[in-house]
Amino acid sequence: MKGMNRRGFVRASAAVAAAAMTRPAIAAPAQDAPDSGRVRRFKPLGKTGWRVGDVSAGSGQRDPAVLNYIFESGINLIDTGFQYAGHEELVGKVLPKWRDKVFVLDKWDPPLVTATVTKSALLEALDVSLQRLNTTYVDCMMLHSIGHPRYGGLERIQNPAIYEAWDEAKRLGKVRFTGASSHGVRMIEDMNWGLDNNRFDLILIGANFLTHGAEPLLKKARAKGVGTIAMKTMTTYKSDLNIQALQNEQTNARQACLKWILASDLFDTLVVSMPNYDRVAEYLAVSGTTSLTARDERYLRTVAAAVGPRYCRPGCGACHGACPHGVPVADILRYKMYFEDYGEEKFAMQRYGLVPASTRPSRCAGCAAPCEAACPYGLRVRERLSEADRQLRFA
Amino acid sequence: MRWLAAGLMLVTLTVDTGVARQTGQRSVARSIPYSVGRALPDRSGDWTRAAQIQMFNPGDLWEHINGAAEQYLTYGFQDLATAQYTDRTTRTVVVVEVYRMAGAVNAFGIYRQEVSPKARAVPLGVEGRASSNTIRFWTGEFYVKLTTPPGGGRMPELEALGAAIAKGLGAPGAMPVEAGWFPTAGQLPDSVKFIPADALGQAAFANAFEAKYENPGEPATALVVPFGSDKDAAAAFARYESFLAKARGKTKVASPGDGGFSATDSFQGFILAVRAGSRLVISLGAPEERAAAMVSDIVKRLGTVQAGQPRKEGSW
Ligand code: SF4
Ligand code: SF4
Repeated sequence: MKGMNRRGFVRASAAVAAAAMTRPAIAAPAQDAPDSGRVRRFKPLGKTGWRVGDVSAGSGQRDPAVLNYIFESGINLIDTGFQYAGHEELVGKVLPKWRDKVFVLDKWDPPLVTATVTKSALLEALDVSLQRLNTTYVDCMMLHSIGHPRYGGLERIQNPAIYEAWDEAKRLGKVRFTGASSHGVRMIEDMNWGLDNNRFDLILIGANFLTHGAEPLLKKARAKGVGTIAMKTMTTYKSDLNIQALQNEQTNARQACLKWILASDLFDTLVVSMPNYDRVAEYLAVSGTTSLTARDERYLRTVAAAVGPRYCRPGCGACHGACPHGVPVADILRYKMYFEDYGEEKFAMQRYGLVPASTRPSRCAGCAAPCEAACPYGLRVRERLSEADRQLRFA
Repeated sequence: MRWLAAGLMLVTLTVDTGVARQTGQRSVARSIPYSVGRALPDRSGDWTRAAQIQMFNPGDLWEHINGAAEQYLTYGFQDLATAQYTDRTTRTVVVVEVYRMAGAVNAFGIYRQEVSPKARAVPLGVEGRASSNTIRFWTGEFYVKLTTPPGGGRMPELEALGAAIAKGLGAPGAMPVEAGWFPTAGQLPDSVKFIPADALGQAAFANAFEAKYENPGEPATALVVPFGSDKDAAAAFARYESFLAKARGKTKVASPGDGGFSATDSFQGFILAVRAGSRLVISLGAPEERAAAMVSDIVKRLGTVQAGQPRKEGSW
């Protein structure tokens, strides 16, 4: 996709949208369920044998009735994890009624999974999660946030205890499938290792219309029958696209972001946080999308124009090491984002204050900017770094 | 890059000084309102802190706790200071996290959301509980978590470290006054919760409080949702009513408060909802008579228990 302009990329992706639409039976909604959308398209989830709705539920619910309604609407995959405070328990309040109709994707607590964690500690943690979820098995147990330096390097997921624990859990009927999630800087590398070593049945990765580069990974996964799930589909970590140009049109922008994932057909499903009935309806409304409309493209262009040039992509790091002077490009761009977008001026300046003077962007003037050439997203890195230096340095 | 030296306060002062000198530039609005150094002592008993304190803000909390960040942000997360302590003799390591929230009620909210009421109560902050390897407590606007690896144990020593940190964070404060809105008879322990957004899955229901009740076989929930004005409350109430419009047995009720309706939902059971000025009072699951008594009681209490300060919004 490198070298293609944004519009071309959007169109090309829409063009590859595949799609036999199927309409499996869904659970009859309760008489008093609010009237809104239903899942309209189901696809095979890798080789699990599960036909998953194209729109699935991430965490974010605070009321079990909302989750019950989500399942009534035909959504049949819930993404949860030990780390999402209280969410496993909330799922557990609703799950008994839906156990054989919903695919439960759970994740171990990221700090638990280390290069030295033991099989018994992992199995113990699985039992805790099963208890919270009020069930005897999860459909998929994932390694949470691989490729994230905070939790360790590749050696973390090379720990044989993980795979012994998975085998044992499968033998005991506590886990049906296994996999990993990531949006970290080494997402591609760590996921590739897992795929090459046949460790994963499912992968859950950060992806949206502004991130490129995961296509070969996704193709490899498909070829191996590994299920693919998208998260972080709306570009920023904020739940709302708070863009001036999109005032009162956030719904359309959010829907366009989801539709891009659906139309790309790169994923079996996407997970998105559904905290309330309005959001459930909003996201269900895009189910069944196989192509983008001109209006969707317009919204994506607006988001891209507002976010794209300054959106240092999660899981990227492509410019890492490109600067001959060792300027920590991604870090400084992130501090700039804190300063500009989050109102965290002091915090950003503190962080910047800790960048050694020798690796500050004062070096950028007159540089040929190999960092910029290394950025697959066309960020105007040198200019942004110089701006950051002016904003963040203190006298 | 992500580690701050222990002399963070020094850096903070430097930043302040620097900004003051830059006339005509955008001023720095916020200062870190507590001393990380004071809250996370270098030493406490046999515990020695690692030199570095790592800080996270709303923009990068996800780097520390992934998807769980979303919930913290909704609860009004401001910043996080985290550090490691090591026990001199046993080499046990404990990770301490001090979350500064938008206010005491937000700290209470995230604490109650995370803690298991079955965990052992510990005398730390306003409330604290200890499980096999974690101590959680809240004090003032801070939510504090101390975690050892599974089997790490040494809970008395951990509690002592928690006490030293609590002391550094200042006066603990008290339970949110809103807890007094709910009758205590039959109330489940630790069941009063602050729900910053999407209460009952309604996008308009923010900053609500709920309490759980348990009569044998009759679990029930009571909820109070405050609004900025009577008009806002009436509009949200009408929307909620129309949301439940398909419910069987929906009936208008004339009292208490400013009137409301009852409905029966297949998941929540019997619902009684009334508006009392700028607040909605809702009972879910309790049978009719008990619901009526509970709602009346809460409406009365709303008149006598003063509400807390309006909640600051979360970061997004
Ligand atoms: S422009 Fe700046 S950051 Fe980029 S390579 Fe040159 S000196 Fe390094
Ligand atoms: S600046 Fe560009 S290449 Fe570097 S991490 Fe950000 S998005 Fe990737």
